[in-house]
Amino acid sequence: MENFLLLVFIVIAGVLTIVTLKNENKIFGICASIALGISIVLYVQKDIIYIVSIIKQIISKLDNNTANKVGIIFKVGIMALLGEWVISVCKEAGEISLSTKLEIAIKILMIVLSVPILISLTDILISIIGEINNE
Amino acid sequence: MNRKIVFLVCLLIFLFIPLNAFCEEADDIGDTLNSYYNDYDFTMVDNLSGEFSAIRFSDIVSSILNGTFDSEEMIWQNVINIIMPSVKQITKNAPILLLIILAMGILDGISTNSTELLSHMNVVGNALIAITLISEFAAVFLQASRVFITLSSILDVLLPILTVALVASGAVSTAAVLNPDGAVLSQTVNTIVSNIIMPIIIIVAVLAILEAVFAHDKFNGIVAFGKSSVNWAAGFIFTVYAGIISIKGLVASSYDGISLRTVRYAMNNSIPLVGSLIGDGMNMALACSSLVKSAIGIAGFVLIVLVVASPIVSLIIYMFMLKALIAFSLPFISNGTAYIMNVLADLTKSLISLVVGMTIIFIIIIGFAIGAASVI
Repeated sequence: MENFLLLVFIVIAGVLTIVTLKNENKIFGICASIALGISIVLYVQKDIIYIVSIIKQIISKLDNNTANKVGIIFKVGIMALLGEWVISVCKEAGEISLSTKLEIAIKILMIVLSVPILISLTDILISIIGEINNE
Repeated sequence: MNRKIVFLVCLLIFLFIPLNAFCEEADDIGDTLNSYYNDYDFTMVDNLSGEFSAIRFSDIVSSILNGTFDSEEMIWQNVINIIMPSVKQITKNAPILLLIILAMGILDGISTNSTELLSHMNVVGNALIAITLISEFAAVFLQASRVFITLSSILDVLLPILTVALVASGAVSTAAVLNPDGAVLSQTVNTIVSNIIMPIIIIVAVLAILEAVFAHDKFNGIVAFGKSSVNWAAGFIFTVYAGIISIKGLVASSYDGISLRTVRYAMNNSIPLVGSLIGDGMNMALACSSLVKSAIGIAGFVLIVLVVASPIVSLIIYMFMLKALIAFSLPFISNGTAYIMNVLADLTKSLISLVVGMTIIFIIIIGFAIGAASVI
């Protein structure tokens, strides 16, 4: 609870600072906004590490094949969350075009990461249809 | 002269009056039954039953005839031995599925949904869930397909034996209905189910997965149409078949009953002096034949139960697992995952109805064989 209150306090103070800076100089305001965003992520860094360790513990109990596949889900999910955050930073800085390109790049990375799952799904569907034809 | 003739007739009558009555003892009946039982060749059915059970068909028939048939030992122990491994196999992936659904739900909850990135995570998650579910669905589907083939094989080897038993016990008309009419009809139904309905089920399952993972709202209509077609086709085929075979079987069974009563009445009343003795002898022979025929029929029932028990239980457990997963993970589940699970649960329900319907058809056929010529 203390951590949460501290986070709220930091954010409110940061927002007030950004608003004041934006009135004085827009570039300073944007820089402050990005810095605040990064500091929020760094603030919850310990919690993120804790969550990742729990996920690793759960995955270690699974067999190799399943662990790989479940690991892909978590990796893709974390990529999606971090990607969202980076894209929002880009949009905040007024770089809409860059954010669109970044979104496409992240999607490509996610597809590459999920290729084994998509290939095994396709293989299973083809083998099922094949098996039915053989039966 | 007349007195002499009367005396001789009286003497002859006295000579033919039975002084002792001999009834057949239990051991003699047992021997008669055994001799009837030994006339049948159960090699092919024994080989078939050996493929999926430790019990031999001839042992079941023999234990029924000897009065030592223990349904608990023979059926339930075997059924439990067959069922338990398949139950473990089906439910082993449920915790993994729940873990994936929870992970997807938590990540979805954290996201602000300001971009489409998380929808790609849902695609990957749905694909992974689909892989797990379709592998299990394929397993239960193949089990169900093999049931149709095995039931067909059972009928192929059992029907000739039952036909002989029916003819031996005087049920000639029922034998004529069951073989070839019943066999042809049941094989037709089996062919329709195996070659038309079952492929539709698997195609619908594949389309449902493609719909949930890749193509949103593209195959909805085809999947719904496929599901309802399967249900309607199965309902129609089984109703028509059960109707035809029931009417034919009932008529034949009544005809056999009347024929046997007529023959017995004719013997009792047309042949002087020894008519009733011959009639009782015929009754005895028919009763023994009928007992062997009923034993073969009941053993056929046991065989069918052993064949269908494991697939039906697997299908039911798979369906309940899907329903339970939907119920427990409803707050976290994505639309795609819920769609796959619902469609697969519906298709499993259709598979259950197909297996049960086919089993009922085979039970009707054997039931008529057991019930035929039971008027003795």
